[in-house]
Amino acid sequence: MDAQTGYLENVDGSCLYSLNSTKVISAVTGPVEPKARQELPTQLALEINIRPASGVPTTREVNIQDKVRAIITPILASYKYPRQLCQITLQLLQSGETEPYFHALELIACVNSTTYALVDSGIALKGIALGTTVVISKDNQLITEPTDEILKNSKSMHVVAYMIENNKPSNLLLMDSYGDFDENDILKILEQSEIKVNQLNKTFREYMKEKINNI
Amino acid sequence: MSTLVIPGDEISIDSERPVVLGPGMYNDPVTQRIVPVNAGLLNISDSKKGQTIYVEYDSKRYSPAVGDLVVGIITGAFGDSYRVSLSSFSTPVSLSYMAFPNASKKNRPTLVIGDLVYARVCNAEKELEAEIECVDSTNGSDAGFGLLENGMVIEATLGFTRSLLFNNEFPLLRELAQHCKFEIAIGVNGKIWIKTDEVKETIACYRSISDCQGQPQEKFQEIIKNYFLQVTNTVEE
Repeated sequence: MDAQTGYLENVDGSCLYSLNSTKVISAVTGPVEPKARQELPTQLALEINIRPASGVPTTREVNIQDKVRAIITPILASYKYPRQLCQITLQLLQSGETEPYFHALELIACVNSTTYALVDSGIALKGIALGTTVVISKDNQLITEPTDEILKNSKSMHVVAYMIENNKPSNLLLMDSYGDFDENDILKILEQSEIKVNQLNKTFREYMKEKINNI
Repeated sequence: MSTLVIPGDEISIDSERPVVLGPGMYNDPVTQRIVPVNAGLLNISDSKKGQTIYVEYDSKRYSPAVGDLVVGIITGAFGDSYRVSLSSFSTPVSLSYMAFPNASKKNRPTLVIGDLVYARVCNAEKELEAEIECVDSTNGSDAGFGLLENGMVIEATLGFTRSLLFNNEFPLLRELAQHCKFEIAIGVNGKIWIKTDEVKETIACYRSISDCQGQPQEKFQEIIKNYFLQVTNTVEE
């Protein structure tokens, strides 16, 4: 995993994020003046745009957008910015997965990258959101951060995102599963993903510490 | 006392005593929890009245706060006020015709669209349009506020402009003054206005200030010297 914030000049917050062969640039602008139809009287409006690595955005990108929105909305301190807009644009550079079949890797790259960019932008957040992909392989092995090849040969795949408050996962923001699995598998997945998210949180903190010490 | 905080971290606060929250801190209206909402260095200071908590962090977009000194661009004129932009795409703020020295119903200020002003934020409620003033409202004097003529505006991060304006130890302006005479207005909204006698000096100042951003203080002298060497043939040692 590699993240680099402040990558773009002309937006308030940005991050170039890569994980295995998935690569995405996120750009955050806000709080800015919304269009009249976006404006919410008491809180911050959120606009998310996802541009795929090749071609034009399709229903697949809209699907990812909606999931990213479901994860990001709860972490924003949205009542701090009434009648304002936060615009998030995600440009995929490399998909890293077979696009017609999957979107799990892109979704997680988008979420994690957005978290870095949001913190970089200085928009008020109640916590941070980090997530991971876990798959159950055909021989019942749990694998986190899979590659395209592993996704193709998996029995089921799961996208899990947590909200992190006070340095520990406090809230499950999204769990999105495909394939063949039972209740026991879900419990194992949650356990495994929590461990992984704790690691991601540690990396995040170290990154921020270094960034702030450099100023 | 300063420690690193990340949004959502728990902060030890003496719940018996009153608390004043500064930038980067937030009292969640639903849970009534006091949490930092930005990643930066936490500052807690104690006074007789209570505890003051804020997070020192750097960002690019400015949100108005009362008392801030800002550089704004006039973007519109109405019956009794100007519309002023403090940062691109942000909600504009208003500057009343009455917020100028010696203002009266008859004596209107003569600013036009595109003019730059140095002003102070006098009202900033998040639900309302923020207001700025070009007059020291305690005594009615101009206090250095008003129209900024000629010169050039440098865009910088908010943390950098705060260092320039408030940190007396910050060596950048002193180093610049070694090379040329200049007039400067620093807005904490990330806009720095600078004016010198000659265009080439303005260019050198512009490039020096933009480039010193994010560099260690020891490098300032070298950067500034380089740019002045580029635009002038002579430079004093």
